Amino acid sequence: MDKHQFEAWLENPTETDGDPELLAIMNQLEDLDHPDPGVAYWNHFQARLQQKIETRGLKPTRRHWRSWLTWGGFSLVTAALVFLVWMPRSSADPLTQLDTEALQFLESIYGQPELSQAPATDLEDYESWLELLEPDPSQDLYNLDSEETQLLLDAYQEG
Amino acid sequence: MAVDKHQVMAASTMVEPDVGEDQTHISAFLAGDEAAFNQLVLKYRKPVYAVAYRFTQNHEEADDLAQETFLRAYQSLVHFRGDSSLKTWLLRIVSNLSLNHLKSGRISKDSGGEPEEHALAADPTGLNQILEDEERLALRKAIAKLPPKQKETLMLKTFQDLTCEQVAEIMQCSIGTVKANLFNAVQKLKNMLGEARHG
Repeated sequence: MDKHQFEAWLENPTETDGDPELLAIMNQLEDLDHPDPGVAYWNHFQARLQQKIETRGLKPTRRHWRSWLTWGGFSLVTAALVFLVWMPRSSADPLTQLDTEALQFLESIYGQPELSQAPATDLEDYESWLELLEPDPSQDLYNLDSEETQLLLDAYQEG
Repeated sequence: MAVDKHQVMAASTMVEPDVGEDQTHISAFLAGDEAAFNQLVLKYRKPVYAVAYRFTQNHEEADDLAQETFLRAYQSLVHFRGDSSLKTWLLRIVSNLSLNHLKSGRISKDSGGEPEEHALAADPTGLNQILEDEERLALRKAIAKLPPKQKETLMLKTFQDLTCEQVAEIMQCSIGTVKANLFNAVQKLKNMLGEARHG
C-alpha cells in the first residue's frame, strides 16, 4: 500500500482495499482505550478545577471604587494633576522660565542692556518682552523730520 | 467488523457538534455566569482527558493535563473567536500541552487520586490488565518511539470520530500534512512491530 492508496483509504475507508497489516494497525489504534476513571473521579475533577480557578485568582472580580485607592491609582491621579496644573502655565508663559544667563544672551543679540536688569518675575507677559526687544515707534528716531534725517545720513556716510 | 466501525464513524462525522449550545454557554460565561463554564467542562472533560491519556498512557498525568486544559480555557475563552468548534479548540490545547509535557519529561505531582484506585474503578476484577496481550503492549511501546508530530497526528486521527480536516485544524497544518504524517507513522509502526515479532 503506497502513500496515495493510504490517502484514498483515509478518504473512503469502506471502499478501498489496502494493505491488511496497515489497516489492522489503524484499527488497533482506534481500539486503544483509556480507562474510565469513574463517577467519583469526575465529581472530584470538577471540584478541583473550581478550587484551582479560585486559588490562581482567575475569577474576574468587580472593581469597587475603593480598589482605586492603591499606589497605582494614586500615581495616576497625581500624574493627571501635575499635567493639568503645570503644563498649561509653562506653555503659556515660557519666557518667565529664562534665567539671568539666558537674558544676557538675549542682550548680546539685541543690544538692550535693560534686559538682564529686568528680573524675570517682573515680566508678566510676552508683550512686555516685545516692548524691550523691539524699538518703540514713539521714540525720537521715529519722529525725525526730513532735514534731521538727512543730517544723520550724511554723518553716517562720512564715517 | 472494521467496515461497521467505519460506517459508524462516517455517520457520526455527519453530525455537527452542537455549536449553538456551546456559543450560548460561552456568551453566558463571558457575561459573568460561572455555571455556564461548568456546563462546558461537563460536556468536554471526557474527550479532553481521553486525548491526554492517549498521549501519556498515565492517569495522573492525563488528569493533570485535562485540568490545565480547562484552566487555560477559562482564561482564554474571551479570545475564542469561534473559527473552529469549541471541541476542536479544547483538543488543540490538550494536544499541545500533552506534547510539551512529553518533551519536557516532567512528572506530574498533582493527581486526582491514586492511579490504582482509578484502575480498579474502571476494571474492578483487573481482568483487562491481564488480557492486555503482548501485541497491544508492543503497539504502545512502538507509538512511544514515534516522532512527536507523527505521534500527535496518529493519536488524534484514531481518536473518536475526528476527520483529517479536524485533525488538520487542531494541529494547524494542511490536510496533506496530516495524511503524510499518518502514512509515515503507520509505516514505522508496521516496521517496529515486525522487528519486535521477529527479534
